[in-house]
Amino acid sequence: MNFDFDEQQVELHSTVARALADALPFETHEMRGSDDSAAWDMMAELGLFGILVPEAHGGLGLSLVDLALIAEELGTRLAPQSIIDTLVAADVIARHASERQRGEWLAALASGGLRVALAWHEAGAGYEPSRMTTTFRDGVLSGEKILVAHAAAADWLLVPFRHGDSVRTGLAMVPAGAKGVTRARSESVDPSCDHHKVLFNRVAIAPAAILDGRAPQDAAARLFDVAAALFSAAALGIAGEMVRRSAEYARERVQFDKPIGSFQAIKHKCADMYTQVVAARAAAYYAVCVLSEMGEDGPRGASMAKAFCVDTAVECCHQGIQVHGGMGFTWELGLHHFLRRARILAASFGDSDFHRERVIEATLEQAALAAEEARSAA
Amino acid sequence: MDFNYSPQEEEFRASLRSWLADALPKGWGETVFEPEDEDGRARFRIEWERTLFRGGWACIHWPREFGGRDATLVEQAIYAEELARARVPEGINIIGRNLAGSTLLEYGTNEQKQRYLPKIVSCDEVWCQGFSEPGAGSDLASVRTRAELDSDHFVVNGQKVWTSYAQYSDWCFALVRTDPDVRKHAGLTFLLIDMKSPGVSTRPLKQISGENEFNETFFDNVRVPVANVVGTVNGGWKIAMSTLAHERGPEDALGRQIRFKQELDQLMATLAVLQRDGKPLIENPVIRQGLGQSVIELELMRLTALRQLSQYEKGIERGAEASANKLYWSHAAQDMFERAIDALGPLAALSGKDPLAVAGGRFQLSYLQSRAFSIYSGSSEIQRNIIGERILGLPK
Repeated sequence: MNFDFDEQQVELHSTVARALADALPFETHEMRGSDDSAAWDMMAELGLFGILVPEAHGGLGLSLVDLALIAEELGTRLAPQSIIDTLVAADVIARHASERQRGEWLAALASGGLRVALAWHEAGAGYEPSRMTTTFRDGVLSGEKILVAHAAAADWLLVPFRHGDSVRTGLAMVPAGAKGVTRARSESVDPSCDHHKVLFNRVAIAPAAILDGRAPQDAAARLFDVAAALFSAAALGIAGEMVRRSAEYARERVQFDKPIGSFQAIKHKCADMYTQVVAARAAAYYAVCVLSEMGEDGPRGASMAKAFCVDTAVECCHQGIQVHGGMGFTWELGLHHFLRRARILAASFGDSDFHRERVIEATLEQAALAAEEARSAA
Repeated sequence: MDFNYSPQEEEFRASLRSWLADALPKGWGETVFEPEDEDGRARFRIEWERTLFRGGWACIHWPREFGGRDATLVEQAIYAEELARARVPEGINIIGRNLAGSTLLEYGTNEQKQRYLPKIVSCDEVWCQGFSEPGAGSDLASVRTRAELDSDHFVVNGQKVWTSYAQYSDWCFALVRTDPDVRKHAGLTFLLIDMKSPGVSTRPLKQISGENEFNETFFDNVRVPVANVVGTVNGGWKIAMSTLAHERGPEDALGRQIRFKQELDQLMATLAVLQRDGKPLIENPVIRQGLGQSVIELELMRLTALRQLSQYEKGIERGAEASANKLYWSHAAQDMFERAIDALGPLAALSGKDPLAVAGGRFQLSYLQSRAFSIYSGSSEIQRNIIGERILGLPK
């Protein structure tokens, strides 16, 4: 057992961190708006969209653990959401698509030539796919999804649905330009996410577009857990960046003839932020680890990470803005970009209440099983 | 990154598990519990540590030559898990094992190691810690207990406070002032004091939980051989800081996490049975949210400790991050006990032997005990200063 990254992982991270810093200077974050091309081109050039794609399909054949520090860095740099969406799609397709479907999509995904947007959320549903109103029956998909990031630029939409009236779920890869698909830009708390509402009005879906490889009934759940884990890593990146910026400011900003970081009211805030981030790290890294091995603790690990990392990110943004005082509240300094993104991460793929409930449910189930085992052993 | 266990590690787990099943009293944790009176409990815990030693399961991460078994990081983690699973009694010589032992392994002479370590492993000698004084709490370097050289002995005079388990202890490691004329950090020495020496006396201090775990300890012309100095005379500050780092480190956190998890498991089991308005409390969504958060926070206490151990194994040096550990777990645990009390509703007001007290009042007792977590071993305010200054580079 070893709960740390190896040398190659650390090295890959520092390469990506440098490239992302070059591609996404913070000063131009707002100006870039919904244009995600700078980060896309960089990721594609380094072959990073192939991380989760098997080598046989032109990818790097690496794991979620190899991706963890990169996803964290994507959070730090407020990289476009479309990147993580596409990485999640690669994981799910590699695991749950048929051989023919893998042949069709994976190579293009690995090269960065295929943009997939995740169309998970619905305005009137919670996060459970089995309760969604988007349904697939008789070859036709109907429903309405929200918070679909960069949908206008997407080639494909990866859509969870229910089979008819049953609770059985599946995933469909729907061409973004298919007949009956309407994309409307939403006004998002974080405009850089370029969120869209997507209407599926009796969209005819070919059987080949429904993921039907290994255990297709688990594909939606896998998508949810992997998205939760990678969103956690991104949230961790935001939280770490807020600690870094707050400490830097507290070292330099002088009031009452002293750097404000010498005052315990400020120093202790920064220390609390740091301490939460240390714990959030363990949460995010554990989640990718249990999910990459398909261990039994995968869903619980993802939920622990999502609740804790996102709460930490939001709290660090709040405290970071407070440490920066009046400057922190200005549009120009830009700390609100982190808070806005943290709020998007919080609202997506299960809010913290949802994930805490999943954690307690899984924990009680495990305890009941253990008690059962103990009884039968005795 | 790899959470899998090798066949050898699985074998280690199996042999520990089967040993524990035999070593614990029949019905342990279900019908058989620790004695209720404090002294009886202390004797029971000492006896348990001796049982661990006889089975070869004490201080497993120490070198074999001092009675340990050179346990790897993974074995330590498995050990922590299995002890938690079996709900073993708490040991009383935690200060001996985690603090005196670790400090001697790092700074002791070979003679000191040979003399003291085996008796810590066997729990033949229980230890207490003589750091804090009435006038030296957070400002530890202000200790005033004097140690004056008289040929080959130091003569110690002064008072220590919050000395946990002093009443059961054979030895005390103390921070004493050997030079009053230099900068306060530079005149301190780390000294091992035999608690049976003439002139040592203790007086119990009653805690907010009603227990007498800690004490005031008085030294009145106590003669201590010079050979009992650890490190150099006037070089005690550095050693004391290393002791405190052990107190805040991942090995300590793994052990504590077991206790907290046992309490949380007990809480969940209790709330599954306890009804309010005709429904088990465990079905109350507000309570579930709190429990879910505590499950997460305790699990992260364990995972953070494992991450740090992995990094130390790679050779990364120990530093101020131990303060973040301690700050994190003390508040996570306090939050858990607050949630426990909150969940009990009106029954939260009944404790101890009251026939309506839930689970024998253990949650109220643990709740009161938990208020100490953010104070002892460096208060949360001190930990935040350390993190702010040494990790984040904020000015003093």
